[in-house]
Amino acid sequence: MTISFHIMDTDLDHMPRHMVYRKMERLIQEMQHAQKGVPVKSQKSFLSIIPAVFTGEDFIMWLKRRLSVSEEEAQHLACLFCQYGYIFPVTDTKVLTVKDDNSLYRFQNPHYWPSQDLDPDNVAYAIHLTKRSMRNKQKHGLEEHEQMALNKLQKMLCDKKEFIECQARDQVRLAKERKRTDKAVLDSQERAFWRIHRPAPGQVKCIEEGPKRNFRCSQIESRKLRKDILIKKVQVLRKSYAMQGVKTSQALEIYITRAEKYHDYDPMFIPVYPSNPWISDETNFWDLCDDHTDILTERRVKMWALSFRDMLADRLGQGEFENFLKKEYSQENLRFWRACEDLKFAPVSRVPTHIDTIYREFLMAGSLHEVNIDSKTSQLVQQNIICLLFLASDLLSALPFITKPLYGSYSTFLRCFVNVSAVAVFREFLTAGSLHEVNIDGKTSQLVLQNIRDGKEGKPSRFTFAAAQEHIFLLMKKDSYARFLRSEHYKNLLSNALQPEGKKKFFNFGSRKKNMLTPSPKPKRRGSSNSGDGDGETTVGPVAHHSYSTGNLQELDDKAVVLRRDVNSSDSSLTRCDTSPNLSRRHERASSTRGESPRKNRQLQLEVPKHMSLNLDGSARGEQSSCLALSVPSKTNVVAPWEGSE
Amino acid sequence: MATESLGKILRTDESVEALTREAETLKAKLAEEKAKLNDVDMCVVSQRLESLQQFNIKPRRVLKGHQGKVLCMDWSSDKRHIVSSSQDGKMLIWDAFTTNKEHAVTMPTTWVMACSYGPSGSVVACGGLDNKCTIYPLSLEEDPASKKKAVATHTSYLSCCSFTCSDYQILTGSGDSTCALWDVENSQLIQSFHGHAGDVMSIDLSPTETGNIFVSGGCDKVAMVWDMRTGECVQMFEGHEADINCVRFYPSGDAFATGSDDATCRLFDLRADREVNCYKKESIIFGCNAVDFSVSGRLLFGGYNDYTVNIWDALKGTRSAILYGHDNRVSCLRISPDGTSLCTGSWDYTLRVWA
Repeated sequence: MTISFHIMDTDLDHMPRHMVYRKMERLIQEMQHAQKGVPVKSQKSFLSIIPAVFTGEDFIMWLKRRLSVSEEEAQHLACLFCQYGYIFPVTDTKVLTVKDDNSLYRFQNPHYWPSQDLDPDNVAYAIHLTKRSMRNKQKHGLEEHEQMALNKLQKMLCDKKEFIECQARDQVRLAKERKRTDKAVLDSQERAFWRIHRPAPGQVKCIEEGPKRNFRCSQIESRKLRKDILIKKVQVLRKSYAMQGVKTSQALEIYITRAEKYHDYDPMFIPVYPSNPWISDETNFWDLCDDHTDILTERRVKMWALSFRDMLADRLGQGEFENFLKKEYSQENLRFWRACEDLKFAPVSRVPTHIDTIYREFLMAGSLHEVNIDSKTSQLVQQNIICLLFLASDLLSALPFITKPLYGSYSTFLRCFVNVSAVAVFREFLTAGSLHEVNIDGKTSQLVLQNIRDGKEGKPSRFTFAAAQEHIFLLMKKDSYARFLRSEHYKNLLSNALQPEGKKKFFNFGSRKKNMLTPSPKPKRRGSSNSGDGDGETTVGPVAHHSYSTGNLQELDDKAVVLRRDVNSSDSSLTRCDTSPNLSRRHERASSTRGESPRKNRQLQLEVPKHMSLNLDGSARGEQSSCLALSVPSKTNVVAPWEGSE
Repeated sequence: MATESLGKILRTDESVEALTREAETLKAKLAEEKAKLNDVDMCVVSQRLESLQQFNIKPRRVLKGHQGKVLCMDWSSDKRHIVSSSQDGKMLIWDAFTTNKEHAVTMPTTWVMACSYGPSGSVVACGGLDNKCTIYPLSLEEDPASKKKAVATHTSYLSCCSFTCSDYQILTGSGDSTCALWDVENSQLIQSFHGHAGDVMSIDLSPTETGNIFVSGGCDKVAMVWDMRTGECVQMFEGHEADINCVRFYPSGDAFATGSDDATCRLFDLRADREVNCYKKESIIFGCNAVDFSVSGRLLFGGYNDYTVNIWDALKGTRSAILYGHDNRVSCLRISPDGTSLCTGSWDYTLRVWA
């Protein structure tokens, strides 16, 4: 009967997650303070006196003052006290809420607090019910669900029948010896307890716990002292200590900036245009945010300017950016980044092919869409690839990645490829002085060796291009993205965008056709298909240069065109510096492409003649022209020249 | 490789006592360093911002259909579908906008504590006391259960799961104190993450583009930031006095919020490497199960055991509103991908969408 109070502090394991009980009990104890607590008294009611009760009004008022909260919050909290069984209604016992009026409530005996006994067992419940069935029907009679429960329990616990009845009899006898008021209070408390723990059907049982935790609190504490966990902890702490700290003020600036910048785009603050679907029951807003919409809203276009990430997160934003890059002849950057993202999250089985494709398409010297990364990054990538492929025993694929193709060893390489383990390969090609030593630098070979020794297959694979990807990402973010936001292209998108006021609506109806001509509907197709998709490419040529297509040309005044040309040309000279050694070859390829498809590129010539002339005027500007040609989107370009040069 | 590098840094013969001592001294040194850098309080900085006006968030949809406590929910990227799982072993796919149930899956277990929508919207994952994470492809023609596939297995219950940026990888957290990254296609472990001393309760992936990191929180009261590539813990945040039930990245990825049984939510900054805000009130005594940010990061929503959702001004640290409506614990909560609404799941068997 007397479960002591100290259990709570000593034996944490049996009281998981019960901080809340401690807090509630502290409050309840305060409430029972003679002077400062909730006024408890006996209440006259018709002919009888109800002992030790207080009103809901007083209770709520007390909470409100004590915690300085609103009426509503105090009432909500009061109900929780009631549902957790710290107080219970005396008159209307069925409803576990606290009303803000004269209804009467009573404090629960600490013995019955939920922190004391978490899961009262069936035997105790059976005793309680049997006891009541032995007593005055009118006062203690069982309710329907209780009678049903008792019947069930009697069947279940038939072996303990004697014990239960004996206990119940004892308790009834004890009760008879008590004073009448005490008896009434105790009875009500006991019943209240069971109402919480064995609620009537349909009532919430709120003191239930979730499933048991795997580790008990004491286990967690002892695990914290385990060596492996401690070692990790010390490591992290050392890292933290070594980390160059940032001033709090500096770190906090991010939050302020974001809050200000995004305030207008947070639907919790500013209603979205045309309406929030959840409020208006209309889905227009979602239709306008769709990847396949023809109409761009101003909000959407403006959001692209919030951050590079926001733009990339929106398929259409990515598409527009790609169109812009296409004009700048640097779209391979975006495609490379996308391919790397795909690789990072690709299924394990497809990782090798992904790596192969990416390397061939973007990184290999002279590849079709070569991206510009510095030599250090590129070395890193190559090291990674070589390691990786050796590990995967995939020598065939490894071969092209090795910087200087080893013509002599090539065939041997191929022959060895069939069912050779990485180690065998290593012996054959990589160990110093081996017959067909492959020429890789010392660091790489070390890395290979170590990886082989570790047997960590495929581990670095997914992140083979991480360094390169980051490099390209930053390049796009700092360079192209900034220019994109300043560009006419973006400004046009913005001015053509649908505005919330509705005044532009007419204009927009008129410009809808124009909107269709703008690339907005196109990128989605490309966005949804794979980045390396050739089909998408064919349609791109004319579309990408929408603002100069014949339909649009009239609308553009000369000034804008001139301006744009300037922007483009200066940009190109800024960005395109290539130091790789394959210039002439690529240039050849470039010009051959031009020759093959002059018709297709007519529109291109029309709009950016400067670039065309650059492209054609020989080796002095070879670097630029090579890039130009590489990114010219046309199907012929995709296959023919590269294959030819192989 | 991990053990080898450890050996280089830490002597293997180091005793537990020595390690504990080193941890303590490092902690003290760190505290000192951080105190030097802690030049201003967030509440002071945020005084610059205008106070939030009273906003008007109301319940807009009630999703009824679960026959047990709702334990977990996730939004589809289409901004209107929701997956939810419950104590009775059911997983439901809802069109929350129309409140229609589109799929129902019965799991061979009770307490399905984790569910997650794949980024493509055509696959969901869930798990619970079965210690497994099972993937269900969704299609209109077929029963999702016919193509189910167990991808991850832990040695204790699955407490949380989340697809990475693709349908091909899933990150799980478990009561066995580990997190793990799995390849969906081959049901193959890609990387496991050891370091928590107690049950892992929640994980969240960094929203940043370069961020190959995720954060986890658990019953050891510690939140850990992990490098997904190496499986190493890179940062560790202490401060909570009870189990951490939920972790969620700030939208910019520079910080994350936690919700805990100690009735507080906290904001931990990755760059400052410390707690920068704590959201608590004397009148809030019940534990917090779930947290999420609004799009701007200004609002922090917390779902509590006292049946309410408290909305915090994440910058000023004050409470801006309380949402009443649920009749039992709020167990999970997520802002919709476009930020237009908030969905809460509760032990009262319902889900609610607020806007």
